[in-house]
Amino acid sequence: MAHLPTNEFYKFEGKEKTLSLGLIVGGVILTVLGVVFSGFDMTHFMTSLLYNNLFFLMLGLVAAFFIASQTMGYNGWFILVKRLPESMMMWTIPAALIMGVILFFGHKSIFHWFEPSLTDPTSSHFDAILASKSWWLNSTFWWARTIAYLLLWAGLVWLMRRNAAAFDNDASLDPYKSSMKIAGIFLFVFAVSSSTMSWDWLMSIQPHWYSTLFGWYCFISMFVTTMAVIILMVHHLQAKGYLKYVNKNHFHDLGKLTFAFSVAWAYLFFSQFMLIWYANIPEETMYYNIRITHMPLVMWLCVILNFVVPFFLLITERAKKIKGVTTIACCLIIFGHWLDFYQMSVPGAIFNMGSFHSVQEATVIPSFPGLMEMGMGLTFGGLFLFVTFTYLTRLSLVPVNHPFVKESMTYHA
Amino acid sequence: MKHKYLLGLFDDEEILLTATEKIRSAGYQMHEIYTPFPVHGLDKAMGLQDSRLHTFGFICGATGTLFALSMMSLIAAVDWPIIVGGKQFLAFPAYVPITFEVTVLFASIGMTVAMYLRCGFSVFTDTEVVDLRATDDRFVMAFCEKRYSEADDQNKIVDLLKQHGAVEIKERGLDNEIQPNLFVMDEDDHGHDHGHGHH
Amino acid sequence: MSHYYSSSVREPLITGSKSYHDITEDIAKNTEGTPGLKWIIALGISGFVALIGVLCIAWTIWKGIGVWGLNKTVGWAWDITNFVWWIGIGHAGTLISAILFLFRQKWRTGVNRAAEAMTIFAVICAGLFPLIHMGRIWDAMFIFPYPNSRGILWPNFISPLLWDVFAISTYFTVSLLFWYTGLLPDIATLRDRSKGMRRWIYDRLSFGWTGTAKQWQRFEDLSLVLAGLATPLVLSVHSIVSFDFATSVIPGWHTTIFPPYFVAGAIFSGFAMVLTLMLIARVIMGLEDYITIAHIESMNKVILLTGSIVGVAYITELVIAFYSGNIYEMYAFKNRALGPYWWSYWGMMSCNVIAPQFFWFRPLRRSIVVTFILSIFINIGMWFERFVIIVTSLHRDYIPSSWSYYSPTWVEVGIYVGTMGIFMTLFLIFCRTLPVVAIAEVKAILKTSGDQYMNEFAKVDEADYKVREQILAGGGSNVAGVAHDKDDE
Repeated sequence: MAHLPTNEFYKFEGKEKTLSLGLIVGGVILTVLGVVFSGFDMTHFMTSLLYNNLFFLMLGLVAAFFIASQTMGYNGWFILVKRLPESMMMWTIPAALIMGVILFFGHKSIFHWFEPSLTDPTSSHFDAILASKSWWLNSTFWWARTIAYLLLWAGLVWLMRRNAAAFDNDASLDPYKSSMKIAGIFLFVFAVSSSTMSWDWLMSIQPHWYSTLFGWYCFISMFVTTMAVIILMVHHLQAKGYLKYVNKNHFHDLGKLTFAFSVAWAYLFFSQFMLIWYANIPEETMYYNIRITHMPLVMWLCVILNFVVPFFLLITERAKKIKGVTTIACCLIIFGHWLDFYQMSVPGAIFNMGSFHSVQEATVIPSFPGLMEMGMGLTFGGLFLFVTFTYLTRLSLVPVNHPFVKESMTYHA
Repeated sequence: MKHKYLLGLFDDEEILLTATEKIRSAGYQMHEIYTPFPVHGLDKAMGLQDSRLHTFGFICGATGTLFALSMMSLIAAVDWPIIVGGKQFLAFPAYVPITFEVTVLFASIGMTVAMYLRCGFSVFTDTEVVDLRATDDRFVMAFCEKRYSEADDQNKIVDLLKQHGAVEIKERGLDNEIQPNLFVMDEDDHGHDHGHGHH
Repeated sequence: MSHYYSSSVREPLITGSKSYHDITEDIAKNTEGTPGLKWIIALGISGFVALIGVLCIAWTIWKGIGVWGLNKTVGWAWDITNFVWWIGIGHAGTLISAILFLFRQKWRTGVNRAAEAMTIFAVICAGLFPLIHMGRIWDAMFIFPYPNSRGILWPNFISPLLWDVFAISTYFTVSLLFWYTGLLPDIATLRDRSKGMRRWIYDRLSFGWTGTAKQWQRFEDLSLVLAGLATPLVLSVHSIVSFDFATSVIPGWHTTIFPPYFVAGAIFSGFAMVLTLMLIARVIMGLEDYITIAHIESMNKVILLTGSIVGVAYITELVIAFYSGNIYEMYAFKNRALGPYWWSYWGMMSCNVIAPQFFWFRPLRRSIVVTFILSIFINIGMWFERFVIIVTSLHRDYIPSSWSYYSPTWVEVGIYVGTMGIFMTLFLIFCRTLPVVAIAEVKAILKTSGDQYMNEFAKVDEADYKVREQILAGGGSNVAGVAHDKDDE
């Protein structure tokens, strides 16, 4: 039986600090270069900002979801790595703020349905389909929802963090009991808001198109990414000499989740694609039509990086425990899902805005993310890492007072 | 002719595990251990080779994938092409469900049949049980007397069994030989400290 | 010192300080001795109901499906509703055995065996419906792809109905293999307890299982892979059932959320059925120590989770139908809620979305009476769900002149009730002949989850708690800081 673990504190210094700051600065430079080389387009720029911020915002949010779901499931094994998602989720709060700013300045460039003439029956631009959607897609209701998501998420993440911190100063079962309550509330809010958010911020970029599965598809995509980030972070911390109680079996379980949810992503991708392909209704197929015509490489890479690669790399128990294999798989998965978010947002926005503003001018839909998107990705990634590592220093890496901590330490099977 | 076995009965799986390791490190290889439920790490402790069933399952599954895909493609595009629902002859998205099902079917049946065959399962023969309580609450360690025919060895094994917590020790003759096992001969095998290293 | 440990925050999953032998006794005794009067009466009733079902099926085959209430507009109704309902119920077993196995939920050992058996019986009942719905059941072999004995005709591989054939037959086969292989050690236990004819029969059934280390090693390898295969399989089965509807262009059917939403609904209804039956069985068979309140609470949590997923899916469908701007989509949903079948829609909503929300409250989750009542509500609600999807989407199609109203005939009701009789008959026979709780698996968790062992863990935890309190009282962060500095040296 394991002895009692002692507190362990992480120090954020040296290479990590340089790395995260370097990513931020390098990302900004790349973004500027991207704009210089390929010209500035407000829609493209703002949509790229939106999806890059959303990617890392959801990384934080799904990290919180992961903790909440494991807490509700009475799972003991993940306690030793719990501090990682608990720090990752802190990025949600600044990201929510940034999201507010991006949407404030960018909503008219990203979402063409904000144009009032579209729902004005007297206008030559009148769009009957958009007019019938205006009960959901109207400025007031949309902003009310947006603000509600941002406030609810930031507030709940703050509550979860406060609860996480309580474990360091309270040996009783009180923090554990309240963690169950907070997890329940979080899951309830998340279940509804994660879906509606994806309709509001991503699906309504192409407002004629709709898919009921869209929300769950986005969620699964981010769940896999979150697992991959956690695995990479645990590897990193162990290489620095932290988290020595984390053993092969923890990696096995994290790897299993990554594997299983990569398959689940493929399942949802297939379900959405196949049903639309099969029924062959024009207003639905146009979504895939744009993407397959203009960016076949991105679509193929999505399937390969998010399903084929993790499937074959992580299928055996042995592979899930090998550092090199999981590192490669996780890096590819993160890139793959970042591409997935790219294809969900940018092509739609450029297509819609282009065809709306000037029908004569040929709309150029990029076939692959350029320097600008990559730069933004790195910048937000750097910010995300900086916040995560900063919060990681604040609490003991081992939640020594958690009632399941010894289960997690003696974890085998 | 009766095959003789020396049996050591235990009533606790943790004692059994320790005993298994100790007896093996003393140089005696038990022929078989009967347990009422799976004891985690026992196969490693007694030096059994890993099961390779899952590899066979993978091969069966891959066969199923190829079989389903090639059958459907040949039928729909070569043997009798028909346009249905405006789909192309090779409508791959629509082949995915059946391909998946056939993959799973092949892998499951293949693996199960392989396991039953490898374990020598049969409905037609009467089972000879070493001890009736081995499916209830006793863990039975069997030594082959053919292998340890010297009285010295046998006494040593009995001593070791007693020393490491066997609750009952007896000799039994069986009509059928116990199926042979493949053991990992390398004592330093990593599996040894793998499964249950929490003492 | 024992290397077993589990946190004392957890509840024991085996109560009554059982030994390994007690576990064998308690579970095996239900299959031994003469059956009680209650069991005989129950079997008599179930058998009678099953007989009614068989007669109604025979009548259908004899006369043709004209004896059902179907019409030109509503071509699928009770038959397919019942089919989907039974298939859904058949999802709990594999979920408990496979997915919970992979997620390391120990409580599954108490209920997995019975749930798997229910899976198999439910799939048998489900499979009946598409077959008799063919009308000419003697042509059923046409669904299988075998070459040229009937000319050049092949089945249509891009039809979701054919996918169903593959999905359900694969699911049945794999569930059977999984269940039966899992049963081998327990059948061997029964064999070693019995004599004479009984021993001979169980010896045949046990395939010569003796419990050698090698057998267990292969057994565990096989279980792990089958669990890994059954997990996507169970998802695929109900997804493919949902494709039957969603690949079409019928408003209310063609929606991309169907596959995962059907799966969640299936698990939801499956758990409800497992609870309905096991709440009764645990008392009658004296298994309260193995299927404890902790088990019931865990299952209720799964019900709450899947019920909420289903609820989110209902709301998604509804909102997106109106978001779509498609008048036919909108009408389909308006018609569901306010049309002639409004009662089924609101029955579905209240039974499936509202009823499970009571399980947010711990005392209700742990109440046997509340659980039993709610599980019945959910069974009914999930039947309504399929009825809503199938009948209300069909009965008013694009041409108002062909709108119609469907009601079942006595034959359809008879078949549906009859399948419940078939299911119960099989289940009752199973309860008397095979161990309802997985004996070996329960033994394997005894030392981590048995109450006598957990009391020991509680003492350890109590001592730990005192140490932690001292550390914190001595200025927690300082002590922690010291520990940290030491690490740095």
